[in-house]
Amino acid sequence: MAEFFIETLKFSERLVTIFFDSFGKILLPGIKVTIPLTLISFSISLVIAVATALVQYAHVPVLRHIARFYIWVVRGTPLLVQLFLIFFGLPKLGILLDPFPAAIIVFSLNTGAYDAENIRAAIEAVPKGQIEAGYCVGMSYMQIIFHVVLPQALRTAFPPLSNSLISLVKDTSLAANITVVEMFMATQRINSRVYEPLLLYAEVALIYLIFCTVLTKVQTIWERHLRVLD
Amino acid sequence: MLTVKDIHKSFGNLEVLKGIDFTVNKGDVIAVLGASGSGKTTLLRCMNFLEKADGGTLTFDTEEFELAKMRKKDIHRLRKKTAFVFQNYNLFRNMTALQNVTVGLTVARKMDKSAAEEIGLKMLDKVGLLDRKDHYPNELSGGQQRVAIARALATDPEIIFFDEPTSALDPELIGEVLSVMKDLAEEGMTMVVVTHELNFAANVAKKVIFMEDGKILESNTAEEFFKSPKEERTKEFLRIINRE
Repeated sequence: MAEFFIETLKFSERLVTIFFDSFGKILLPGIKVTIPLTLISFSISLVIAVATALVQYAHVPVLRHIARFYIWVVRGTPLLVQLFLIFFGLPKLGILLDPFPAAIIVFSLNTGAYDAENIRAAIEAVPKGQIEAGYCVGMSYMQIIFHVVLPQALRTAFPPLSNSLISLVKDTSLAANITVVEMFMATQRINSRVYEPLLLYAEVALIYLIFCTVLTKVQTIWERHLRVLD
Repeated sequence: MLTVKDIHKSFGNLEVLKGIDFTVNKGDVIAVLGASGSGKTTLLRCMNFLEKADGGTLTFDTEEFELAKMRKKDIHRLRKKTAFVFQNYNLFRNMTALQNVTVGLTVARKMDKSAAEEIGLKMLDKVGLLDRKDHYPNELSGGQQRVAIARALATDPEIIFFDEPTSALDPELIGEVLSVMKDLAEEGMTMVVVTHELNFAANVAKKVIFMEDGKILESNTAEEFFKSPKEERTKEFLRIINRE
């Protein structure tokens, strides 16, 4: 009986040691890779999304069809397949990308397609009278877009955009499949040494949860600061 | 200053304007009256190109344009000489009262920000809302239409079009807006006002146009219009309105 107790204690001691030893080793690639990957991809995706939404809204010939095609393809194919296509597929055409830039490209394009639809919906929700008022004070179409329509639309789109940012944090774990050493890959590596899958995967899940909780808090505070529109 | 001739406009099968002629001279205050659906608002919107007329011409000073074939460049240029006050204000929801008033100067006319603010503050003061300059439209409650008028004034327009400026207001606010408009009229501002306010038409307007069914039925000086209306239909309209 005593023997069993000591065994259990030793076992728990080992788990606690592994937990604390690995925590920093998982968190570090989280800070150095997962967060930059998320933030860079998200920023690029916003630019893509605004441009894609605008060419549709303004009925720009040709470009709006390209925009529809892009959204159609990206939303209709799995993110993991897109990662493989860019990282493992493109070298066949002589285009060799490092894992990190390949991941950035895929995550930007993927998130951009979804956000484009969010932003388009928000732009279309701006009342026509706002645009007419813009014309009547002498603004040009482009001035109205950038000074009236977009500022209002981005406020409306803020909650869905926050959502897609939070999704992206977790989706970056898929980059492990194309050899990006982000949090999840780092966890897998530690696990292959010590074999404690329950502990380590729960640990990395906890860190993702912390990241997302922080983002959710920031979203709530920010939303409170955005003025409520009519 | 501004003359429109033979304006026609249809929405689908519905002919809303059936050939309208009228002239605005400098300093005119013209009230456009008529029942709902008579085409008053459409007429005003066609004159500022918010609706594209199907036919007719517009002459501004000495330039004549075919309304159905106007180029964007000309529309943009002519709009800068006019201003428009909407029934539902249409203040920019993402801007403060002051920004609403100055955006036509800073963005559309590339004016220096401090010069624009000086004008903006003067205009807000004129409509009595200087203390609300940093409020957003949803915080302005009763003052929205007066801010909209300040916005219209800021760009120093040659004509201001008013589209039922008091129709969306609570009764106690109508007086404030009308008194601002009266002041403008007295300063010699050229105004075309689509309205249901007969008192305004009678006391402030110099001319009255009465529209019915897409046409101008009677056009007269305000005094004549209310004292001795010519048309049977006009008399009836005044009778009904006065009884209300």
